[in-house]
Amino acid sequence: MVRIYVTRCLPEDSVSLLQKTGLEVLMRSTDDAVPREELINGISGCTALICMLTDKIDKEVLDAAGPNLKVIATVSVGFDHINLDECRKRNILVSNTPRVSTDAVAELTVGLLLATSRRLMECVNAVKNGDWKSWGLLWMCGTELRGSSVGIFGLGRIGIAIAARLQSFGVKQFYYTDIVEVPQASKFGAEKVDLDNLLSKSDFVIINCALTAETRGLFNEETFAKMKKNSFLINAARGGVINQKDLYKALTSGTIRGAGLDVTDPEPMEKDDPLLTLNNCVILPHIGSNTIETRTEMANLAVNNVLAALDGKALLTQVPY
Amino acid sequence: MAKRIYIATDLPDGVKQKFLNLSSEVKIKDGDGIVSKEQLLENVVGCHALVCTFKDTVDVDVLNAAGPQLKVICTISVGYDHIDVAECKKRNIMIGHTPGVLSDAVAELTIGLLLTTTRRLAEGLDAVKRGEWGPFSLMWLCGTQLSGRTIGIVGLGKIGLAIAERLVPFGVGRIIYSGRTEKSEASKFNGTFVDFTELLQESDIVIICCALTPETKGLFNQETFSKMKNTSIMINISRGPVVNQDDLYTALTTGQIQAAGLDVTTPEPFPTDHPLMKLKNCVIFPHIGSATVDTRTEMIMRSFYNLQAGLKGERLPFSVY
Repeated sequence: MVRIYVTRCLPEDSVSLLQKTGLEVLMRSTDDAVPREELINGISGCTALICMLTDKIDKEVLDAAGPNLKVIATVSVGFDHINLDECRKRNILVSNTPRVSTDAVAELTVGLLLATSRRLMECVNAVKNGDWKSWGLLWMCGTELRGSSVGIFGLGRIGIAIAARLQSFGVKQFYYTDIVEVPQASKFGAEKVDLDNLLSKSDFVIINCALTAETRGLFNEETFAKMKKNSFLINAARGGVINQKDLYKALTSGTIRGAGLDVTDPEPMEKDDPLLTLNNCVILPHIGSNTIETRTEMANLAVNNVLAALDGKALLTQVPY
Repeated sequence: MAKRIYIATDLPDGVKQKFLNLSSEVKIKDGDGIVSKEQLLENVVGCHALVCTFKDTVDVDVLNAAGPQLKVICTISVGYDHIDVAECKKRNIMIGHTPGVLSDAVAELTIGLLLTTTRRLAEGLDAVKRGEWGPFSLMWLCGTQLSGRTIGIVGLGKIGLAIAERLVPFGVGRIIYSGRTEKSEASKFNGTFVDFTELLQESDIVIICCALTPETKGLFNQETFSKMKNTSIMINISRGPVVNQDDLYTALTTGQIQAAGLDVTTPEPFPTDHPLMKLKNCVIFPHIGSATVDTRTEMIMRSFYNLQAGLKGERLPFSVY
């Protein structure tokens, strides 16, 4: 008897997809992390698991599942929470949801950039606090993208999508730093430069790299010193790339003008973090892919991976062991 | 005889001297804050020229207080609905404004306002500050994506066009527009001219870019909202009175439309206890469309050229009529 166990409440569309199959589905009714004991009970005897990155799928959980378990589909790009080795041993297929969130993240990054350069959060608060009465011609004036230089550190799919969106705002010059030549860079006339040049030439620096041993803490005091004084730093990639204590110093000493972060280290960020006291620092709670459309697409992809596995077909987005 | 000039706004240091050099009798307002009606009436007495902003209502009272020697009014704005144009024409008073320089800044801000609304950025920052950012959740703080959406632009002037051009790379669907006449520039983004009702019915996002005239005053009212999709988002960057705010409140609280983003309100500044302020699905900015250092400086310089010409009795380079 085939049973699918889902550790979170899924969006309506995905639930319909599952219901159409007529298969037995055991799904948690809320959108919060399933407690470990409930996970171990729920997974027992199931054929397929749809989980989130908050669910640690280790040897103990796989043992509790039993021999029926054929496929694990995580609704995330990352799969650090899954013991791939143990899955391989037990012939359990694993899938993730890569490449679905490019548009949502690129869109959010541009929104974050504008929120930083045009001081949008400061303005929302000024309206709420009654500070609008201080209006003057130079009150709350921000900085335009028109005529500026934009430097992208890591020109992958998301970096390219961001550049495509910024291009029509009158950016004068794009730069990028990457370990490879990126052919699509020519669409924006983007010049490939090393990091030092990117930092010294860019009015907007956008971090788009993966978090690796090389990039962890890369943006530190030394790096900020190489940036332009009127520049903005935008990070929607991984929080660990930035040394946050050094960022605080850079923002309060006029070393750089402002920063916008959708990712921090750790996540969630503590509500009394000093960065949150700064007017020139905008922080969002990692909502890059938080659109109904993209999260639904991610959940649907997980469901479809499961259905493919149950059908004996190739997975759509298999994680190789 | 020296020409008396009153400038009802503070000016940035870089340009102040230019204005001061025009006459020995130049008075410039000090500091931030809006000039009150009383201050304006007091200071225009005996003036040959008045430089003002859109915050200053230049009506019959002000024109009478000034006296018959008033020859030119220069507003540092594109809009001139705050000036009694008919009365000025009667008295042969020239009116200068500052069109053409702020389209980029306003279009950029409009995209920022749109993304703040669709991606719930203010809610996001607020959640971080309140410690409401928890572990991963699938559907928390999900917004709507621009991909594939139908955009409806009400009034395709320079600003509407600049907005449309910036939206194309976000992967939007159709861009449709309404107004008095079809515009050839719409071919730049494959825009389709439709009547107002069709725009309301078809659009996922409605962006109001028209001038405030007797025809457009209160254009967005209960009847208008009832024609819009209840998943739609309304963005107003034109003038507050184009939208009936009581009807907007009803529309937002009864699910007639999904959300609204306003850069303009009635009145400005907006009272902090207004019902719209309490709504999570209503984003309010303090009229910052043109609020960048570069653009405001350009606007001030245009006013300077208008003033210079007006004092000599010459035709203004940027005349309202």
